[in-house]
Amino acid sequence: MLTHYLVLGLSPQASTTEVRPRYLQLVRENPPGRAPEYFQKVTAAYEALKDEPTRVATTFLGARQYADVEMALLDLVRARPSRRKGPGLKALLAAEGILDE
Amino acid sequence: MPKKLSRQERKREQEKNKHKHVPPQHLLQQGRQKLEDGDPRQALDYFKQVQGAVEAQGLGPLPGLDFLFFCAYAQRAEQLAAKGMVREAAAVRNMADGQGTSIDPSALSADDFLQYIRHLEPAQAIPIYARSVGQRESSAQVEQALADQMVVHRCWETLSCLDQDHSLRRDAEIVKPAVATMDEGAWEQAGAALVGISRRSPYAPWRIFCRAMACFDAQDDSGLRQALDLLPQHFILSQTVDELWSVCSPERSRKGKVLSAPVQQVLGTGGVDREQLARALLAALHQDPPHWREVERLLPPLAKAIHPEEPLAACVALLEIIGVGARQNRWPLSNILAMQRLLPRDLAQAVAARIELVNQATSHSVWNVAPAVAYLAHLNVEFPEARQQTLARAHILEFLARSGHNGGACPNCVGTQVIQSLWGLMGEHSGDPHLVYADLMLASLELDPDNREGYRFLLELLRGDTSARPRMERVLTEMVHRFPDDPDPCLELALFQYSRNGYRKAEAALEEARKRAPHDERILDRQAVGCVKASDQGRNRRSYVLAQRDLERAEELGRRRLVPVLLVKRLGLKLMSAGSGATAEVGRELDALPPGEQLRALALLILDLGAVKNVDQRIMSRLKRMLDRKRGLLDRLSGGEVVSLMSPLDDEFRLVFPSLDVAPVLADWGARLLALVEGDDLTAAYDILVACGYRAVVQSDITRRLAGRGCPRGASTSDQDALLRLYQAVILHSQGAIYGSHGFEAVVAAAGPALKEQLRAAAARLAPYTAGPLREALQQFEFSILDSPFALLGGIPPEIHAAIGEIIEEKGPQAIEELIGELSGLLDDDEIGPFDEDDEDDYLDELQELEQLLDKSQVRGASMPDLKDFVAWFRSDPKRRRELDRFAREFEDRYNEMSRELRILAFPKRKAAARRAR
Repeated sequence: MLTHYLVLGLSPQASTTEVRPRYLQLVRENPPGRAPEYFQKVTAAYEALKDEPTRVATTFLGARQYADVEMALLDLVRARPSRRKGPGLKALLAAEGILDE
Repeated sequence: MPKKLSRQERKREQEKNKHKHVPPQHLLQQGRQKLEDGDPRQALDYFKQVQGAVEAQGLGPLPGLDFLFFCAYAQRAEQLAAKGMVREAAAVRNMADGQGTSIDPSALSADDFLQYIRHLEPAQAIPIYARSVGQRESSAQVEQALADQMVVHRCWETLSCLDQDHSLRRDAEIVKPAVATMDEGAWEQAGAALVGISRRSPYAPWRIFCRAMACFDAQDDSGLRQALDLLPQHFILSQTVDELWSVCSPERSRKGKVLSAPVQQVLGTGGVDREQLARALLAALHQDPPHWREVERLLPPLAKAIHPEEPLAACVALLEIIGVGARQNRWPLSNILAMQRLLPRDLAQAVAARIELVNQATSHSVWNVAPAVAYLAHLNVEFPEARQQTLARAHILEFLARSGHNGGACPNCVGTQVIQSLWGLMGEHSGDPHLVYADLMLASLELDPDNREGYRFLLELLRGDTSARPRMERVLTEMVHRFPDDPDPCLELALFQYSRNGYRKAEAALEEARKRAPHDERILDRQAVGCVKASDQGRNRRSYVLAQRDLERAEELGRRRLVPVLLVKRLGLKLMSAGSGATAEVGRELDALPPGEQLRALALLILDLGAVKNVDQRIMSRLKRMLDRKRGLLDRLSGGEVVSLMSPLDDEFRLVFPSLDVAPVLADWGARLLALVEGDDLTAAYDILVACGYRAVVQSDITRRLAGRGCPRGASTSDQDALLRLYQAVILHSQGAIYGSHGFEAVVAAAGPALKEQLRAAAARLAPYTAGPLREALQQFEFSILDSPFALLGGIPPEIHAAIGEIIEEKGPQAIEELIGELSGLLDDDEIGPFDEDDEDDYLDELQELEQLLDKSQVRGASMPDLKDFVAWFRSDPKRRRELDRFAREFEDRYNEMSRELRILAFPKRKAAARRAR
């Protein structure tokens, strides 16, 4: 499922060797104590892609885990981590129209 | 000629006329309300009408009107600025300032003063506030508004008009450097810089906001929610706060708030477009019938929004989700497959095959292998690397084996074409359709030999098949070597060796298991069971000394779980060795036990000795009489004890008892036992009896309870009634007394969510003891399939079954019309009827029937003298002997296919004749 790749910020063509370092990087950046929900999401994605057999199984039958179309679709849509780098205060004030840019 | 008015102007004119006779005070109030609602334009309309009315009536200036005009203009200017209409905003702001000159701040109420300060520039607001300090009660909200203004406009010098100790001035020294850090977007550092700010400080919301932004950066949604909860309602960055809420708690943010696109852009949270598109897609899908054109139109933009770099992969994922949902939502798969045109041809074919494969319902009716075959042909599209292709192939073969086996598809009924195509996928195979699942698993494991679960499933497949014993031994040995850290294969191998009396090999396997898991209790348990098996062997050969020694060995191992079994075995040995005279002594030993244990031990004794060929029948009749005499003990048992009495033995005792089911020994007491059980124990008791085939007892107990006869007062709750009705429906349906889904749907529809879960669990428990459509309905907890015409026939006849499989295999699932035509033809065909004994493709041929009979008789692996005893007993009946001789004549050419036991049974003199001939 593409959802797992998007959660890890990887391309579906990424090799298996890229998965673990990426997972560890994300966990380092967002430790479970600080962002438990995100950690769960990332770990589930890692578990689905961690090695070649699981990855093939995920591609092959991964879609079966979704009983509910709505949930599956919204998960996919929200999977990609937003570019969460909070902008500076001035940019926020300008976006709200409080200050001119 | 009067000027033609626009629609909007006409509307305003109408509003004005409508309010012509409304008193000015009332209009003023309405305008105020509009201002509070965030609609300054409407508010201004009202205020202008008030002004006009006042002037027309020649009244003096209305108090407070200037202030309201000021607020409305200022608020409108802010709105325009937020929309990016800078020039218009500046013009409206000038008008606000014009009104502001005539306002006397000291005359304003506390709330109005707060509004006034909020709408002023800080250079004006701070001196006005400074003058009001002594005159007004201090207000935290006013100070927070000023603090917000200071952080936004940074005119710190204006604070000099405040006292040195004033929190706005004092804390500004801490805030100033932090604001610079905030500008850089280093929110965590800014938050750290604001540590010195107290919670009561007017700048405190900024400290919280820094924490919120730091959580946002760190993807910590729960932290973000906590921080946002602490922010005051009128915090100046309200749109940012709304957007942050939408990120961390979408369900909360949706309450009528329009999110700001520039804010989303700057925060990089522009997920709204994706989500809106997804919701539009869902809306199109949930129409009845779904709007497929709209779905197809929405897919490409949504795919691009989800993964702009690889929209094709996103499109595949979307089709997959919709395709998998097709079965649950009963959408026609053909509509979804038609949308494959959005993909390149080869990818489309692969994805279509995969969707069909995932979606295929392996049911009693059709085990469709066509999608798997089609998908295997397109593996290289989705898995470009050779290693991945191999693994995918292994997965598909395993999937086929599991779906066929778990769905209950009988290999003999799926049609020769299906079997041929499956063999085509495997390469090497046994050539026996009956072993097709095992062949599939073997082929899968050859491709992916590290699949531990695959090995376990293969063992499960081979376990019931006598002819597969050598293969099973090979698989177990392979597992032992391949997974050197796992004691389970060794334990399995030991069990297998015990079952064929290979004690030495079994001991070696246990020794290996002990090395791998020294503290595993199961190893000793299994060793004790092995000793009991050896003791049984000695007992059956009348070598009672040896049997006693083996039993003592088992007792020496001190396994607590085996205590009841060892007692039964010891008593059985005593009876066998000493004859019926020992019954009294056995009775005395049993009397020393608690009532429940007495009954259980006696039932196990009857079960155990009942299967021994050379047992004195007087012993059996005495034991049965003894059990009958102890009937009175039942009244001393609780419901839980009754369930324990009836419950089957653990699976590991399969080796040492002819059957694990104890309930058949107590079958005569069924109604009396059930009358003693209530509550949760009742369903447990029903499950045991249904599993043993005593449905009539259960049915009459349910009828009795539902009719309220003999049921203790208040014992039958409505939840329990629903469960009872489900059991009743299952029993009646399996007996053919009722048809269709009505009986089930009525029970399920009336149940709440918690009860529904109980019903689902009960249905899953009952499913294995049913067959055909009912089994499928119970497994899926979806009873509408019972309304299909095939369900009325009690499942599909094998001939039709094969025809369905072959048509689907050839033409795909779309060939429904053709299928119906074919089925109608078959139903009209006179040749289809009961089982034809002369047919070579018989549903279950006589040879297999006899093999199954031998499986049930527990003579597998028995020694030659025991087997000879069994054969002599079996052939002692003239009718049975004649049948066996006929069988031997007809099946002589299939001698090599038969098991050892069947050969001895059917051809008892063949070996002797061969020896004589030699």
